[in-house]
Amino acid sequence: MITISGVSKSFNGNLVLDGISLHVPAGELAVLMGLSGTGKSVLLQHMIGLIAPDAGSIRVDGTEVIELSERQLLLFRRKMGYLFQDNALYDFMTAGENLAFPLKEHTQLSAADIHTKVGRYLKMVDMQGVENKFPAELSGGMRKRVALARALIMDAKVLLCDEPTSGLDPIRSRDISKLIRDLSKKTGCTTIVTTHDMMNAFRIADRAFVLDKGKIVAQGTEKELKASAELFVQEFLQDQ
Amino acid sequence: MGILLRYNYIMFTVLADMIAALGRSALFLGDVFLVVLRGRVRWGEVFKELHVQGVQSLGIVMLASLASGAVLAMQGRVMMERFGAKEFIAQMVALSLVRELSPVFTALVFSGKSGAGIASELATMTVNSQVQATRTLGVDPVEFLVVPRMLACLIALPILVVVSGLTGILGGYMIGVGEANIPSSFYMAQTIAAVGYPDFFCGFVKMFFFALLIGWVCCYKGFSTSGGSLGVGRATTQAVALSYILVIVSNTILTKFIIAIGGN
Repeated sequence: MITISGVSKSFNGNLVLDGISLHVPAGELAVLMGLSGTGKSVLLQHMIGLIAPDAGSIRVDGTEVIELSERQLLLFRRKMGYLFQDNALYDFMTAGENLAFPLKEHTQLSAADIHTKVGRYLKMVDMQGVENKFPAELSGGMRKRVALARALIMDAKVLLCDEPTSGLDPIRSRDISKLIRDLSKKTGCTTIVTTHDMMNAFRIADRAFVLDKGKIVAQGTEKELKASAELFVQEFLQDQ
Repeated sequence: MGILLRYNYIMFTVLADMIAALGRSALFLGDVFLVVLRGRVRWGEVFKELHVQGVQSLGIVMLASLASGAVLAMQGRVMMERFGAKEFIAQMVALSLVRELSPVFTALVFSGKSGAGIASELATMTVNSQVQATRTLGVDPVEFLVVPRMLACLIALPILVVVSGLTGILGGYMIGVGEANIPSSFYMAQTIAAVGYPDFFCGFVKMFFFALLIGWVCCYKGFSTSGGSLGVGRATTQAVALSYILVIVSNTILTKFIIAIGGN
């Protein structure tokens, strides 16, 4: 489903991604782990075409992302869901309007159908009754849930979550991680989550990739990673 | 020698940065024109922006214009009474307002209020990832966020300038008739006689140009923000300061140009 080959990216001479390759099969939930500033979010943004790589190839659902024009990218992104670290809900729209926005933009659904679908997705993230509340009136965890519903509402085939538990307390972190896992499996979408929270990562991941200095230094299941001989992986696991 | 080299290097870097920023802002304006030429204008959003930029600016523009028209008449009265020509106050007020003061004054007020609003809104949306989110939702942020704001500028500012001109003339009338004891009908007749088509043309050209500059600068500055809340503050300040400078400088150039092509 998602295949990345030899992707490199530098910013102002600073190499952030150094020939990264990975493959995530359809329907799988993968976690990208690593210290802050190791390029996890940058890699995620490459997958949805927000950043173009200096070198390499990114194939998502059979589409070579780097060959798409800006207008083609807008079409391509309709089948993708992206959950931002800071949620990125429109603060001038209510929660319901935030969810309805992509439906109004890209579908021919009637107002009643949009209302029904918004209600269904809010229920899916356990957020019934917040349709008319603005993001500023919601707590951090509630905003995260609404943002997750917005990311999925176009029946996304791919869900990319950038640090979904950052800034949340341990209980909310666990709840959000579990929700992502449940929704990913329920909808069947291929999901990639970036995090430096090892506990939650292993709780939800089918497979994990560990990034260090712009490279993937290890990958596998929890058991495989714990058995890894890679020094960084051992240090990273011990510190969690 | 070392100091000279370092100075040259700094100057070169500053110049290169300025050229690069100019290039980026020109591309940004190109994107805006492309969206408009493709007919992808969201008129619903334009009307929402018109309310924010136009209707909500009416009060401050009218107050400022009324005061400036009145002050212009007060100062004009002092000078013209020395030459026994106080009946020309109406002409002086009307001409000054229509040709110069209303377009420039309103543009400056508009930059400070609506321009700052545009820049800070877009800058906040940029640093909070809402602009990126628009892209991930498959929507062009220039089409959704920038074009409505720029078109609203182009519609709202000319209307505000007309309102400003009329309110300024009213301010002058209040002083001319109320204090200088010029007969009301004479004052009105002098005002109407003073302003001809070339004067309206001069004002119209300027206000559309100013509207484009303010919309462009404020949207671009907001859209190219980075650096969190500090960046929002910086972008807003720069947008307003740059708008002021561009309005004042371009006014001089436009005035020279309009006079050269025979616009008096």
